[in-house]
Amino acid sequence: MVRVEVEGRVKNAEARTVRELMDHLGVNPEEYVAVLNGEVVTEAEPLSPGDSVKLVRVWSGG
Amino acid sequence: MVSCSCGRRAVFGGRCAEHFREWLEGSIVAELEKFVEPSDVLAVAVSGGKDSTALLDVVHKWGGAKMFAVSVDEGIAGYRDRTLSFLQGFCEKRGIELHIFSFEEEFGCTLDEMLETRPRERACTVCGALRRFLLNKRSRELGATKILFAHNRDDELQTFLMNLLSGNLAQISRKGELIGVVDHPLFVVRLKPLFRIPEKATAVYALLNYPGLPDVECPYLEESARFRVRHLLNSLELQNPGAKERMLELYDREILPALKPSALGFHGKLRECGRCGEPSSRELCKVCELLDSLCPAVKS
Repeated sequence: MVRVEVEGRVKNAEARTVRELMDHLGVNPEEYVAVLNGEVVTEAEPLSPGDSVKLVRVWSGG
Repeated sequence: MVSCSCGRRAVFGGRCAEHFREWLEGSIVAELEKFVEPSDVLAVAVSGGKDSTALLDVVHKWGGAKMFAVSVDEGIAGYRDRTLSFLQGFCEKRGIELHIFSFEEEFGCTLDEMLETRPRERACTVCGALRRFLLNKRSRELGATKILFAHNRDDELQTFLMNLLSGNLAQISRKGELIGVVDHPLFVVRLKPLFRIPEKATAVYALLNYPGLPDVECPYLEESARFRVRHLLNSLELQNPGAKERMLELYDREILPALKPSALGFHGKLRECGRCGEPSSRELCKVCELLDSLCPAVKS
């Protein structure tokens, strides 16, 4: 299980990669940056049990 | 671990943090060197958001022309005050000259007041027109020869799609990376050095470089047409990886050159607005017209 924080909500989920986690949560990788254990990573990054992932929304608007 | 060619962990596009920084900054500098003359005076339009902060930082470090920062306080409670506060600290720390112009001082009322009794969907249209007006006028008065806008690839494609959906060919023809070279002497040329940079890349850059950047969104954003188009484009990209890049190539290399305003006769000679004296294609410019309906008690 990995711990994931998205939009202020914390959940636990099963996923082998960040992309799989995003798919599981219904999150579009174009709209979020993944921060794994405090480091920015790509969607292809593999995950291990106990990892902590924060999905940061790509905010915008002048 | 997904690695960069150097062996370190990748953060974006197969590059580690250091190589990603080099790539992004190098891409922006390449655009600056293509369009900026050493004699230019650059006004960098900044909001305190991720894109414009990155642009300001890179332009300042580049140092290829005289520059200063310009920003607009539209009067959006709980949002602009936070981004401007960050921006002031950012500029002060780096010794960058910053000028802030406000809707309230210039037009007599804030954006929040203008939209109090009007549909919020109009916020981006109103705000965009007034901001461009103010940035053009005040940057010109400060001696700027070019205004740099931090519109990234996704912003540009969203605008293109919005104009396409509303059937506005004239508006499409007026967009692109460099705007307004021959329009009018009062119209300051606009350059978008992030034109080819994906929105997510500037988000990654900001996360890596500006930990104090306020994590706030404009309260009007989610009700805007742009917000819906943004989701649409991102969904298309998810289903067709590379779609945005292909769209930008087509737009930049084929569509824009084919729609040169002069070729289509869209740009009648710009004249000066009968009321405010700023460049306009009509007797009364769009901003004066907007202000008549939004701030009836105040005339520009």
